[in-house]
Amino acid sequence: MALKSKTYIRKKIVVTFFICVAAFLLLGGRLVYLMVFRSEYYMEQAKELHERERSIKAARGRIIEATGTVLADNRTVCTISVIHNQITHPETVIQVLAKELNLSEEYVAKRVEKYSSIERIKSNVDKETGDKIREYDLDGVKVDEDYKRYYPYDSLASKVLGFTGGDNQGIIGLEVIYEEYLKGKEGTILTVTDAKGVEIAEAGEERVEPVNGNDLYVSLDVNIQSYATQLAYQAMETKEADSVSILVMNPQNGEVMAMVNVPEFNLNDPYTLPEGSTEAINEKEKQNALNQMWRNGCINDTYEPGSTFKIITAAAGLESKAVSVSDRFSCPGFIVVEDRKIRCHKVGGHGAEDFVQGTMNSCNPVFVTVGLRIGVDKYYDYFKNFGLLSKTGVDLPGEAATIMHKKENIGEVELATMSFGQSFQITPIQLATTVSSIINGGNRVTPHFGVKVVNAQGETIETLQYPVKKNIVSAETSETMRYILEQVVENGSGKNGHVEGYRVGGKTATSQTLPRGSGKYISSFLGFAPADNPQVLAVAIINNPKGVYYGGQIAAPIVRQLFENILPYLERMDYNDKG
Amino acid sequence: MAERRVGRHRKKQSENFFDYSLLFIVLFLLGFGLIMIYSTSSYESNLQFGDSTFYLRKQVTATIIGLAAMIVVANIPYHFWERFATLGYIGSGVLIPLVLVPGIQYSANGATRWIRIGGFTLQPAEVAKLGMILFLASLVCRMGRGIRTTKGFFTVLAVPLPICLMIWQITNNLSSAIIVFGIAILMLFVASPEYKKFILLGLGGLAAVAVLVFAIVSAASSDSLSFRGERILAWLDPEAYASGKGFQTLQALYAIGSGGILGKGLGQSMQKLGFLPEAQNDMIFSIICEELGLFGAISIIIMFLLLIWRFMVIANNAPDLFGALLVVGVLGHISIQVILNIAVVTNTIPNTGISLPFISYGGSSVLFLMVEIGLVLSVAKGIRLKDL
Repeated sequence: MALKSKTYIRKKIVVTFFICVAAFLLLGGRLVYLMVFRSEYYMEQAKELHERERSIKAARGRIIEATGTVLADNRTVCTISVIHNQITHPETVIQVLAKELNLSEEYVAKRVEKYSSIERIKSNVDKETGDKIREYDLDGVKVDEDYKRYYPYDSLASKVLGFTGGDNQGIIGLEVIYEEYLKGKEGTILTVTDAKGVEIAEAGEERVEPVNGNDLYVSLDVNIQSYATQLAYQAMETKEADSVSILVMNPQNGEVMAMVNVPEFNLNDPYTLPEGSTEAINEKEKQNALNQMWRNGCINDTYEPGSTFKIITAAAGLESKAVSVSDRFSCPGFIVVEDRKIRCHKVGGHGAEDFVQGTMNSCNPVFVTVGLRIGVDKYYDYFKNFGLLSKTGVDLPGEAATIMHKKENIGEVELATMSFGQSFQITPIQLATTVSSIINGGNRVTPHFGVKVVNAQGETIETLQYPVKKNIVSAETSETMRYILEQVVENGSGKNGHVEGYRVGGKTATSQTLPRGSGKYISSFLGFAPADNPQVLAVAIINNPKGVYYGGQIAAPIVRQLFENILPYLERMDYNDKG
Repeated sequence: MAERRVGRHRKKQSENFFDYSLLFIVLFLLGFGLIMIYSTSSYESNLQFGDSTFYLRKQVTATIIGLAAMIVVANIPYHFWERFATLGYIGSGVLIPLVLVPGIQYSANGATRWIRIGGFTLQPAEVAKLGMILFLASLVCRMGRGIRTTKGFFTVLAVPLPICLMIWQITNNLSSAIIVFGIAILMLFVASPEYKKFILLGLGGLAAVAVLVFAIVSAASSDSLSFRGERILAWLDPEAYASGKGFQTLQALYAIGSGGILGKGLGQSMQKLGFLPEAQNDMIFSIICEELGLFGAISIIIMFLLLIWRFMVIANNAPDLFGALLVVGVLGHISIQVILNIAVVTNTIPNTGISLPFISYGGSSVLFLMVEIGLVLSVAKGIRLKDL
């Protein structure tokens, strides 16, 4: 049977062909869609699948103090890992790694034999050991260098500097506040791998270099800090105190030169509680104990300032003209406010005295009288205007706020107690800052550590600026206050703070901690020098001393010793020519 | 073009036609296939066997045997095979259950679809495709005008069913069953003068598929989804099943998409480095796309179109209905496989294992394809030049 006779078959064959053509056209269209319009999307997805990203850590910026000494540095450490697919001699690898890293062979063997793309054997290995392992040149063993924060002075200024965590991020202190400047930017190595994670050598690698962190220059002075630390430990031991804080700052610009809170802790080992602390405590308790250990008393804790606060009452009184230097007072040993009898620390009373003498004697009735003369409204306004109601803005985390009465709750009695520094709480840094502002001519400064930020190339990228609030007291009041406070040290209760050959001003304080009657005291002394043009201000606070607890007797000598050493040093440093 | 060239030398040569164009296209596809098999398999086979040419060498061997078989078959007048038509049909029906017999059954990639006798591996489904072409061509010829009756129509439709069911159920190979049935439908379509029935059949099939997909999608919220049900869902949204049923499809799409217009260049595929499993098999087209781009992919599609065009020309000029139907069967086999393969690779239809003729790795596939080409060449030789 000839095909010719069946023409419909030929037609159908042609139809079949065109059905195929149509199907191919559809598939071609689909291919155009996938390979032209969706190409970018799938290419991106595929790239993500093929590339392995390894990060290169950026070196964290250093923290450098005023004389150029590095307080926080980086140490190169190594991470040793193995890549299963690339190991050619597993026995040698196990042997060498176990020997060099001080690990058991079983431990290493388990990791070497594990089928995974990359297995970490040990991190934080000394560079020396890392180099040694690298010298063996073993296939499949990777030695990656890494940075670890290192503090050359261990515990010096521990609560100020702070430390970093596992990802090199700041945990407390300056390390937290200046994180953005210090941390730098991680780099990456992009390598192309096959499905098993084996790198394709020909594809090469794409490297994004890390950007190292910027160095932070701070106003801390390692010499002053070291000496203050020494003094603080000495006082803590001899007075069997709970803690001792010393704060040294420049009252003209707010730069903090030293901030000591003993006991300090070791920054290179911040998770170890001090010896003698209770063992076998649970995680939560341990964390609490650590937080306690890391607390910066100068900033994180408030206390009743006591008599040092009379400086503020005096300044308010003078500024408001409620009192003048020559005003006469008489102290019978107490003063009655409403129905309360408020005692002076001198039971027999100071007798007749003028305002300067009243301050030298730290006479409570004098200051109560001044406070009452100012009145609640004005006193509260000064309190606020001096900056005591807000935080100082110091560049450290966790600054505690002032604990203060509500204005409507302040009666005569509250006002009377506030006048000599009781019934409210402020931080030591708040006291130091407010007094600085009163004696420096009336400019409320912001206490700070950070001075400038310098990049890895040594270029200053930012000089840090801090707000200054002008004229919180007049220049005249400021000058009078400097005179009165110099008198306190020269001839009054603060004479233990006197330094031969220098003009020192200051004020003592002895405050009882709450609850009253516990027999616990906080002794403190605030001193500054030179009295006519203050360049340095120091506060020493002894928490719960045993035996003699008067600030004038135990805290003032600390500041005196400190000044005896640092005043000549600061002169040599040309510090006094500033401002 | 070949005709014209032959025509010019009419005096020197025999009066019969030999389709050099078809031969050239097939040889091109085979050669290209070997290059792509080497490109796709060398990395993985080096890792696996320490020999980058492992798959290539096996395929070259199969191709040489296939070429020899083609030459032999091309030189035997095709009517010789008519007497084996019934034997082929019954034979394939007998061979399929043999994959269940221990000792000769052979598994690869988790599927038991092969039998192995004396080191020679054979996929009964491949035999069934050839057997079906031969049997239906012979059956339609014997039916004569009977094909026009409804009874004749349904007889031809019923013939492949038992074989298809066996392939589907026994060797768990739905795609081969669909191909065998598709070949039968196409041969019936050409042999029968009807259109209406086929349009109805097509619409009915489409409706059934639509209902099935709809049912599976609405059942997706409930559990109890079968193996194939999940494949449908993975087809609709491969990225949602990226680590399961959608994995291979998604990897193929990554390969195709990252090829772009001109491709990454021969040998530059990334997806073949273990990301796309068994890249040298069913998914080889996606690597062609990745390495040679849209340009290469369209070129290959054009080569297949030319091949089918040659089949059409030969079928239309075949000396008799038997020859024409043989060629139509082969046309059906190859075009269905190419279309389904590319459709699977581009995720146009749900994923099912169909190899790309002449290019995908696979010994029995290439052997039987070459035998089919031999048959077509034999039919072409029957064309007398004066009939063109």
